[in-house]
Amino acid sequence: MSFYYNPKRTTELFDVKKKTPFRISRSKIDLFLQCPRCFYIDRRLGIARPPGFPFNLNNAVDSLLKKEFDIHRAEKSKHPLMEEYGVDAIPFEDKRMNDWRNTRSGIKYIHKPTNLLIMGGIDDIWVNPKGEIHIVDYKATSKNGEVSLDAPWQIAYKRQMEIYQWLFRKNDFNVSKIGYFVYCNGITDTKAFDKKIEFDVKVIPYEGDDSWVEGTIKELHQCLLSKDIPKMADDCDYCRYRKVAAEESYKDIKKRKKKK
Amino acid sequence: MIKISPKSLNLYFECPLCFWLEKNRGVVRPSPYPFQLNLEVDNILKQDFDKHRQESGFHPLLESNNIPAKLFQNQTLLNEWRDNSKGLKYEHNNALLYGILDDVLDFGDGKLAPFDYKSTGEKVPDVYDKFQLQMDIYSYLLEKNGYSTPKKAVLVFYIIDKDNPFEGKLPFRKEIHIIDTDSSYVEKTFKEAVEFLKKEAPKEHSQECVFNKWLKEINV
Repeated sequence: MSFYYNPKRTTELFDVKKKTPFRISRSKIDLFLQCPRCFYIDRRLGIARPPGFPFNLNNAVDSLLKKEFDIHRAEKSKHPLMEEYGVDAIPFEDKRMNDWRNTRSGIKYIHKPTNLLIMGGIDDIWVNPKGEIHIVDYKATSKNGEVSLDAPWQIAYKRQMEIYQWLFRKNDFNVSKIGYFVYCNGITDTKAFDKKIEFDVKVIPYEGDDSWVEGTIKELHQCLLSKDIPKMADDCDYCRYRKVAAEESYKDIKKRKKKK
Repeated sequence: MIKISPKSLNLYFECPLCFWLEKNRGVVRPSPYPFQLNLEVDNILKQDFDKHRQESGFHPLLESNNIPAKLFQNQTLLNEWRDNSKGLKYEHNNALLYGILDDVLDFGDGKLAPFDYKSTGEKVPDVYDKFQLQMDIYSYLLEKNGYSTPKKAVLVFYIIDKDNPFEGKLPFRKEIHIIDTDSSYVEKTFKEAVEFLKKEAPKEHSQECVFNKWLKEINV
């Protein structure tokens, strides 16, 4: 079995009888929106989707960017990117910053009507002169042309931002509607590559709307309470694989039995 | 025709049923989005090594690691071996074993060795079993195409240096690993996998299959 994947978890399982708040991370909200069946199997039955490869370069860009913005946080100064993109803000200084950034602890809120503990690990927070905070998320890719937020699959990025905005509002912060994506695009036409890849870094403002979050948490809670495993999302690759794999091997075995 | 790559043989070892489904029914395991950044690093490295290939045939990285080899000089042939729709091939009994190579080193006297680029966010690079299998198969394919090999493969790891702030660049350190290759079992394994595909589907996923429990514990 691969070392980073434990297929049958016995912890972090939703139990209808338990009184303690049940933890739901931002990525599990996204899983629920992708496919309720996969979400239910994960959170109630303890079987998560097999994961992707963990040591990708994107995570590395995130951790390096954190270090870079931390220098300006300590100096209470604007980062050159903020100047370049006319963002009137500085990195937000707060004792809890490292907790908020940690995916295990994160920013938390107990949603009373469902008794769910909603949480998420952020990349950064900036603060403007009015005292409003901006949620900031780092993204890294490599593509020709300009990066944007226009592709249909990037709805996941927007939802991520909006959940963080919701979480900080629930924690009584004055949160600006505007969040920022620090989008790093690896330059591919480098003539001589030696020790580094260079990036174009762009700051993309995004006006978030967190009005959907509350309703989704309630639906997600109903899903957890359900006795039956919910239906798969039509476009879920994982459920489709499970289904087709079972059907095809069953068909083959049956066909060969007939021949005998 | 049945087409088998190192990745397919790795899958055959990991889970015969997943392999059977992919090759016989086109049912492919779901996978997360590819990491564009990792793919691009490979492209940048190809460009860099090609530049050195054309200029002197030597690369500072190989020289500083005392590797007595030149970059393989036949760019046209290398481009074919790198091409996803072609690759380095060996056909046997209407089945094809193929590899898509990153690069090849020339050790002189007609001896060629596979040379592979790996980029990682890991602190210490790991030579996974699947890398060993991949290099064994590439060596075998080179031999079947009439070259001799030094029974070695060279892996160059580009490891991200996470100690410094970003400042618009991803800094790497480089580490060379020379591994011994063993092509002796490849032919047998390849034939065995091809024969296996003609048989009936196994009833279950293997114990090691990452999809095993995930599939088994939920009745569709």
